[in-house]
Amino acid sequence: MIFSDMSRDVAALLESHGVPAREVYLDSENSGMTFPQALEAMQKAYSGSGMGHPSITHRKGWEAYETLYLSTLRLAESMHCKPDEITYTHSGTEANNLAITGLALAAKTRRKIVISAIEHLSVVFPAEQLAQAGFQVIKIPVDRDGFVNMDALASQLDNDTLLVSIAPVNHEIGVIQDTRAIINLVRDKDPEIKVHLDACDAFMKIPLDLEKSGADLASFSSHKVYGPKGAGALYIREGIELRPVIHGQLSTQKLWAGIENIPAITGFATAASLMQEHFDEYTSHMTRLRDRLITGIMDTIDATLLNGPAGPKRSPDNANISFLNCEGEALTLDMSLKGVYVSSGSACTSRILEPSHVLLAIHRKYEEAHGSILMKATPFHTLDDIEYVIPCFVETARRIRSMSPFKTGG
Amino acid sequence: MNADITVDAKFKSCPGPLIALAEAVGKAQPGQVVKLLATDPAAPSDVKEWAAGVGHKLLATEKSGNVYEIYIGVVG
Repeated sequence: MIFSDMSRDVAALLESHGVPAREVYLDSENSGMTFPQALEAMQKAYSGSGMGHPSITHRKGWEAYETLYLSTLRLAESMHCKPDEITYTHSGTEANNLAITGLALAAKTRRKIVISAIEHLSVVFPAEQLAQAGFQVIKIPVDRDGFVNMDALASQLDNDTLLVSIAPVNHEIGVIQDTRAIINLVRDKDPEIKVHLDACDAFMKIPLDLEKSGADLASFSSHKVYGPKGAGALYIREGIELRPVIHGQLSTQKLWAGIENIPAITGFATAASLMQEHFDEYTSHMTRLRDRLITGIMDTIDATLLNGPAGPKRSPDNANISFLNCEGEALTLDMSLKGVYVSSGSACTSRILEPSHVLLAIHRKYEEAHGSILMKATPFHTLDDIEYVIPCFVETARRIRSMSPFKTGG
Repeated sequence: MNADITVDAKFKSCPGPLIALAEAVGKAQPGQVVKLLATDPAAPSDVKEWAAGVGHKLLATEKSGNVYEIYIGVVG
């Protein structure tokens, strides 16, 4: 008997896995939980106020326009920018693509794109695509904690440099860059060089004021602030010229064709407002959980390494730990059977089973990068959740290492 | 090694091979051997952990060119 057709029915896999008695979801890097208030706002938008097309001349269109407008006002307040400086996309990935490719398409002479070695693949890949079209792409090295090498950055800033793209908070290792110093360095060298911030992981995790930052472009993702998937945004400072990268019927905005996902944008705005309102409370809470998770694992399991810096230069939500002599995929699956959902590196990295380029850039060896686990604390988690997770890791690491040919305690 | 059932999940990416294998194992009888053909590099470690976690036996993992052949003994 041969099953030659791929079945997409996951029922058997789910049945074999079973439903764990307790579940703790720590994988909000890849897809996360949503504020109930955001879901409620979205339901209202789906069923009424956001149903119509905002560019069409009838009552339902005007209602949709108003819903979009009010959401944009709220987001602009959260981001500290003008409403007209926000262009909606459907994800942070799309926003990064629009920022880099859109700026390159509008560029007249400059041909050098500078990114750090630890940027998200939605920054790396568009830049590498542009390299095939004649642009020069420079990747700035980082130190062992992930901080950008400022001397190397300075050496690449000249009158051919079009763009510097840096994430204020790295998605994998949580390092918080000195964005102010980076932008000042760029401005001092050449005020014509544009600065893009991939702010998907910085937004509502650290203070971020776009007007004061001096950035020209900044990307945002709804689900990273516990809004729905399907909404992203690009801040484009007034006066910065981009060209569209997708084409079709325009709606209320000039740079991203197609109808805006108004219900998702409404959820995004609601989530961002909640995070802004409770910023100190939520970031303090996440920091406590993050620190307990990191110390709880590293104090009880031998041969573990923290990826990224410890302390205040680390994003409040981020815990990334390498378990030596463990395969990351094995850890994620075994933890899943215990009801704890984590990821190994980034999702894209995991799919191709290559070591994360971020971990290699901070000088992790291949075997250290392969055994990495990324977890993110959220406002929804409790200390009790974290106390449940720690002994699960102890048991899983012990079991996997007992089958390993290498000798490691834990 | 002989197999009673062969699951062809070549060129399917994670979690496709595991989904197909779990379906076949679910329909198999205790004592039967299920062979998974996969090209996804994550398949060997995924299958190993899944089998250990849900109580089936990983009998062998072989590689022929780019294709993994993973044998699972079904436990009742």
